[in-house]
Amino acid sequence: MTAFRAIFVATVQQLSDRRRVLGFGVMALAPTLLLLALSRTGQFDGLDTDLGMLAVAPFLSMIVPITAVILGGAAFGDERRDKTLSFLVLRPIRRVDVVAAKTAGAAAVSSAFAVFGSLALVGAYAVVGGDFTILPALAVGATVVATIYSAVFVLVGSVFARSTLVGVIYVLFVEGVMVEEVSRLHPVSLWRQGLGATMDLMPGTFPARALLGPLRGTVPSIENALLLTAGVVAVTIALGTVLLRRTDSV
Amino acid sequence: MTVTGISKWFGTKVAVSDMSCSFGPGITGLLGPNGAGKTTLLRMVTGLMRPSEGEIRVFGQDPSSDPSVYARVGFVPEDDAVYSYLSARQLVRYAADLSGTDASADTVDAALDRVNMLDAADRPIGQYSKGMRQRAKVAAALVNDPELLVLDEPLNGADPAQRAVLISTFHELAAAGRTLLVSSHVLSEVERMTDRVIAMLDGKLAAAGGIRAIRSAMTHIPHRVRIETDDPRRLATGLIDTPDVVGLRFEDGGVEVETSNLSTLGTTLPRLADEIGVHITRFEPADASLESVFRHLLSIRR
Repeated sequence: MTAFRAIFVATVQQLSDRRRVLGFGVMALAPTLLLLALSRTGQFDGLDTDLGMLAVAPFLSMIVPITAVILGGAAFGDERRDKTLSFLVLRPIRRVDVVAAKTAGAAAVSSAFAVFGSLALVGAYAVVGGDFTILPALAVGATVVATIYSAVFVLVGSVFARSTLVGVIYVLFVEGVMVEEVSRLHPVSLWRQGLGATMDLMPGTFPARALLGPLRGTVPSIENALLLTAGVVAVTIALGTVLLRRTDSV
Repeated sequence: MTVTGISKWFGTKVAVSDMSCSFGPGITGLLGPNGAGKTTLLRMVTGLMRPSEGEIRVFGQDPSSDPSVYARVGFVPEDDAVYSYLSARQLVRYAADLSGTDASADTVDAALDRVNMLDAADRPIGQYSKGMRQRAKVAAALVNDPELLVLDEPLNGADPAQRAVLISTFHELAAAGRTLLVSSHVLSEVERMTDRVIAMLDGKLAAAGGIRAIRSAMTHIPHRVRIETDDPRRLATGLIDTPDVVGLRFEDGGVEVETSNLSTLGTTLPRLADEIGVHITRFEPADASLESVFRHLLSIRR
């Protein structure tokens, strides 16, 4: 097995312990439970309505980001806490491989929870009268959000011991309050990359697509979202590599 | 491995100051009280930390800038630095994959067998005792058959049987021409492993070399010698007037003598014994143990 693959597999194993699977699994189901609760109000017409978006929006803007923030931060954070970083860096491998494999592992686990949440949400939507056609769009959007936040917080977790706190403050206050108020920042808002991808990939017949027009100025297209995500991943891996090379790894 | 004039400081605190030394095949013990700078030195020689000043060469290369050197190096960190969610077998296989070496079942089993870990190899490390965790770390460090093995307090937490296994493994590696640098604060264990030590005090090199050679070099501290004889009282009387003898103490079946010049005593004693008619059955240094030498080094610091 190559070193990259070995670190990737070990990172997936590290981040998928029973406690995390249970905790993040339940968290990923929260929007689904909200959707089911809304469907009992009698005013619910489906995911394509304002009420339906009450379930989708927090999934993309809070649940997936917070999951990715915690898992991304733990990728190196756990190694620092457990003093196992020497096991990784005192090897005849390039530091960029270490950082890239850690990022890929964190993104894979975060994305798995994101896809699981998407499946549950769309499944619940289908049960209450909708259909499954939005699943690919929501799953891709959630994966974009999971990947971008994972990459950023793998880097943050390699620097700060309290990366989760930094991440929650970022998600709730920077993205949730400050960026929300400044529409010019919306296109570079991290979770909106996922929203843009979801909106763009929605089936043509899906009524919520009508929202795309008014939102176009503030929500990126899928091409821009994917480009920005790739750019952020590349930059964070490069920065993480420099940090791992230049700083004392203990 | 050569270390030339390295220093490391954290803000205003100097952890290691102007150390120069080299290590070759065999076991070298790195000694020092807590805070002496042993761990900082080990982290610098392995490339985990960059020295603030000075140069380190491992197989002629700088480990912090050339990772290829790690194919020939094994490192056992201190503390409980282990992946608790992996089993020992997974840890050793992971180490093999990361080192680019053969990760076949045979290679992994051979490394585990060296530290008697085959029976417990498939249990998660989180369920191991501290001594078992140490052995798992040593197995992981051995899987790539390193030429240089750096071990930071490898015997911590190991029970006597586990210590015996580890020390025997270290002796085998040394006999095979490997270079081992072992840090420990348990002097008796270092003494079981090697008589070649590097002693650190307050971040500085206090002494390096064979334990007896270090003791001999401490000429300002009187040497203690235990002499067993058939008539301790008469021998003591004769020794009182001997030049360089600065103290005497009766012990069961003999006398412990403090002398400022060991070689003078060595030449005077046979003549004296002959003159006063006592029979010497044993003559041995009483303070050439590692513990005594280290105590002397500490007293110099004070």
